[in-house]
Amino acid sequence: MSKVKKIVVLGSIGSGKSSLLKKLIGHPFLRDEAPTMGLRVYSLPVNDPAIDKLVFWELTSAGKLDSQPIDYLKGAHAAIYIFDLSRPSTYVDLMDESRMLAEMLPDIKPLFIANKADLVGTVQTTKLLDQFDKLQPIPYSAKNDESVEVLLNHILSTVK
Amino acid sequence: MKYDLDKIKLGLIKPLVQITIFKKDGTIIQSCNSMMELEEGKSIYDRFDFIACMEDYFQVMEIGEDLRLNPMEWHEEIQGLFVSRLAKIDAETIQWILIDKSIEQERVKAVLMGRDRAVLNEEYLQIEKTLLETKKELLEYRNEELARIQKFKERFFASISHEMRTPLNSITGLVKLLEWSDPKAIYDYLHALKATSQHLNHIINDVLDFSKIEEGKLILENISFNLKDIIDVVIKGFGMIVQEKSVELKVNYSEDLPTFVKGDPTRMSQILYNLIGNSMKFTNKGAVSLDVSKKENQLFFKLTDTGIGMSEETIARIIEPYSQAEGQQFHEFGGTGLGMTIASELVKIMGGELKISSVKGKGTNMSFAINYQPASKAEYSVDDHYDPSANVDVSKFSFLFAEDDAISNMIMKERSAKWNLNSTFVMTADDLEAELLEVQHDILISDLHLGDDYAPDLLKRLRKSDAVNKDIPFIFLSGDPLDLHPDLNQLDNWTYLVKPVNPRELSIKVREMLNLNKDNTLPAIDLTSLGNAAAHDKDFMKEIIDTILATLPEELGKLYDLILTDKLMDASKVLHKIKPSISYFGIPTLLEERATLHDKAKKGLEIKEEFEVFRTRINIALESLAAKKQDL
Repeated sequence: MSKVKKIVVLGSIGSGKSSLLKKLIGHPFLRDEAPTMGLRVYSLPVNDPAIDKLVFWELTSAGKLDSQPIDYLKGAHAAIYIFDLSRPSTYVDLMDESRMLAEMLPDIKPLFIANKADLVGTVQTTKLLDQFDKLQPIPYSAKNDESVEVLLNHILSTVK
Repeated sequence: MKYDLDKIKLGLIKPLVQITIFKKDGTIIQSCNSMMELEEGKSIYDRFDFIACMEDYFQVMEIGEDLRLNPMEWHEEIQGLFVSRLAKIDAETIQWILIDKSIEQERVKAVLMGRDRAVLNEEYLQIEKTLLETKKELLEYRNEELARIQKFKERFFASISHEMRTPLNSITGLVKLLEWSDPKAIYDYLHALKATSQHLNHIINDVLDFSKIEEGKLILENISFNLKDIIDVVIKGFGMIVQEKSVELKVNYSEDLPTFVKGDPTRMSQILYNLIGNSMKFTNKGAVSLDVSKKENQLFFKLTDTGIGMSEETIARIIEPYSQAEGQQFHEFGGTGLGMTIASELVKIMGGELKISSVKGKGTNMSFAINYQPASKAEYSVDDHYDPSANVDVSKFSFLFAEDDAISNMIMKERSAKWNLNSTFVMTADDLEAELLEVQHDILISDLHLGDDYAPDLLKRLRKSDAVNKDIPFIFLSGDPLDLHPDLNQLDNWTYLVKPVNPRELSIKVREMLNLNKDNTLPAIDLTSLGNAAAHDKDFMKEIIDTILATLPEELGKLYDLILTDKLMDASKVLHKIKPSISYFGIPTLLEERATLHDKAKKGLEIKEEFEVFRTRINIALESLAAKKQDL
């Protein structure tokens, strides 16, 4: 079993995939990002006896899963799907997307990340998270270091 | 000549393509190394994370399967835009073809950015559309609300007019009865007349107060008063209703309640009148009880009744203006329906919030907390509020009243007699001018309009003249709100009251204008203490008095300088030092005032104004002491 794990990162345009990854691998938070061309790869060495590295495959922002070439997803050990709580267009089809992802990666339980929880307030966040209760989304704010730590732990426990 | 086109083609393609063959365990078998050096026999997994993370998949990948990653941004050993193909060519071997497409990077980026912008623009337009729709809905809601409030207002004023017409008709009828009746029945009619006028006055005051609150023009007073006295007066005001309804009205004060507080006694009374009035109105058996307590700098009021109770909707409605117009309860319960709204708004202005909870059929709880400042004494007592002469000798002041309305004039005369004022009354502008030019008065209380004349025009001329009354203070009375008369700002030393004039407000204004609030009168000097100290040796007593007369003004001068320069700790030491001298005056209030100043100075509190009053009083006492010395 390889100790280098592939994690595919999906989500609509501007849902915050690049920013999240840059935060995870220690880069400063950047607001203006050039669009990802097809696929962008980031590595994160981790201090874990079972895992040497997490290799994130950030997929193009084309948006919906049906537009993604399946070849990008093959061999993934984990999948992250990010949506933006402040932009309904990024989660309006979330349930359909989750079903499609389950078909594409039947052996994986994807992590759903509810990004920009800091922008919509506690009440709205709770309401939206309740709406997607089945997917067990994890609220996340790139401006909060604690939520990055929580997210990394989730990813590690998923790939093990 | 024949050219080797394949060689030329290969020369062009070679730097842009690298082919590497490796085993599925990562061992490099062969590489053309056109873009980067890969050593045969080494593991490709140690070189590239993006290949290493596919190791598990290569184990299960089907022979002939070809993964096409097109395009792919890569930042490991070389950077740029690539096409990467990973194909399983037999059970053990993977073929990796890497094609450099960096030359197309800018074009692809531009295309993708254009695509992203188009998607985001579409989303933005959708959001803008939703926002516009929401704004439209909000506007429609606002319009509906305004229409609803306007409708309530119309109904409210229609009902209020009816409410006012009823007592007015009664007053007219009663006056006619008085003209024709037997003198023995006059008392009963007068009693009814008074009650009806009070009812009408109550309605007018409610409307005027509410109007002031709505316009944000209600200004609170900040004077010290005896808290329990104020509340007791309110409770006594319900005496008749308590008797008539057999409902008990109780008040409980917590033991630590301060005696004197600073605030607005009138508005505090008004809140309590309105709340207790509401409770009494809806309680037919049992009790209404008021608990008053304090915590830190807040006073807590809790009113409990065993009345009919209210539903949540009623609670929300009764503090909404014009509630009775909406609820159609005018005829059932009477009143303007503004009492609870006014109480709630006054509590808000005082920094609190009126909370109401109720159980239908069981009763209602109302509570609020307001901030207060402690005070050491009352600037006004309950009785003072209705008498400008309280604690002050007003006989030396000459009051001039100018009022063209016969009834208002009569009321003023009655009020003046009740307050024992030395007053002169005039009814026309000509008489007022003559009086002001000929006889010296201390204060003028005048209607703004005297017949067709506008009193301020006359008074502006007076201010510019050399007449005896050129500096006289004025109190203007008018049915108009003050902001209708901006021209009054050209005058100085005046104040204004809106009719119907509340005697208490008039009393306060008179005291303010005549500067009667500072009580400089002193009890007589009592030399008992000095006599004891000097063993009744008169020569020694005179010697001590001489020392006091010589040193005390000097110490007061020092004190003044220390207070002005904020050296309050030093001031407290001087205040301590002068204690024996002051004790020899034999005037306990002076000793108390010194002690208060001493304590405040020690705590670093502002005492300048209080000290000035104290200094004046000490100077008066020194004059009396000097006179006393002559009698020894």
